Amino acid sequence: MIHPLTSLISGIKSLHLKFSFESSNDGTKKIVKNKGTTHTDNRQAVQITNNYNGPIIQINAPINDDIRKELKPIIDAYENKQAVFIADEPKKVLSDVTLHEQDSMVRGLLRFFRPKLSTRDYQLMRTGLYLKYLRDNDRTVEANRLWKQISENNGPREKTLINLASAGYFHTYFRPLYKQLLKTENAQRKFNKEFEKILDDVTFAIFVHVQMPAEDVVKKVKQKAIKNIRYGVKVETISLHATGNTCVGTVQEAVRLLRPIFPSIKVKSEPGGLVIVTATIDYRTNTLTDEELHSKQ
Amino acid sequence: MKTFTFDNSDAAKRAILELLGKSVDDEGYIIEIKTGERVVSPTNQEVALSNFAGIRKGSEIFITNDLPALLEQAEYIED
Repeated sequence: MIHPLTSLISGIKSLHLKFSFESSNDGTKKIVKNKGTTHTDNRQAVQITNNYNGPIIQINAPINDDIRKELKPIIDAYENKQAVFIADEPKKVLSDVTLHEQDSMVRGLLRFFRPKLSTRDYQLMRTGLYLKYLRDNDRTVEANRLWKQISENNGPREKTLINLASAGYFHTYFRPLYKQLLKTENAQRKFNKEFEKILDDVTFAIFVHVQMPAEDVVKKVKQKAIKNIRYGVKVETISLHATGNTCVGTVQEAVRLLRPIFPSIKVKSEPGGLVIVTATIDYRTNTLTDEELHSKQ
Repeated sequence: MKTFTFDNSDAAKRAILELLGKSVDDEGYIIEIKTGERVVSPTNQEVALSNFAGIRKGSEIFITNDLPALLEQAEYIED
């Protein structure tokens, strides 16, 4: 006789398992969760019901060999690599990510970077883009809850990458950078090198985007320099990154405005006609006034 | 690939784990019942019950609530 669950499972893509009993490690406890009361349960141990989402397998007894026997088709599907178990809450998050990734701008960015980043970095970028979406849509509670889990499970490099993605830098900086580098040989190798460099010293980096006037760049450099001096930060330089004619022009103008304050600025343009510029500012040599250094920002 | 969902409660998580021969130790980490050894996620971290989101058979892949790790498994989960 065919197990009733076997025919059910063969025809569906998903189902929900609902446990009415507390599970126990030793398999001896038989407590029905029912608002704090304990009573004997005379329902069938395993029942199949349906709702609008599909079938629900209701398990009314603690896990033991009998229940395992009843649920054998489910366990077999898992053992045969035909099924995955997932809690409903993270599954909802995945569905929401999928929905957000229907956005054409996000889709374009994902398509662009999928073959260019390692699998892990690609997922970190997706995570950052999703956090941005949550924050942009006033869903900060969810964003904060996810960020807490991310912080507990990831190191500084991973968190930096997520932050760069959630701040929009894959759109405004890394994609234009890659496109510029494509005009040269070994674009991928060069990109990887630049990418890792930025992840290493991002705290000391400013990315110039098209809507950023030179005056804002100057202000940001001064703020970072003052903070670094005040807190005795050991890294000696702040870097400006720009790609594309407009942004490179902004950096050139910013450097002109910054030179009287920070005379030690090195500007490096990529060779071969690429529109990429990096300005490295040694902020320790400066003409900042005591008032500026001690002002509240 | 079929997707079997369960409630996000500790009780449901424990039941799923027990069904598959796992348990939870005194410090709240998932262990193999047979060996008593703690299981690890694909990023080689021990998996706390609170961080357990699901499981997939490859060798045996523990899915955690960490979003980047979760996204890596997305292609195996039916929407």
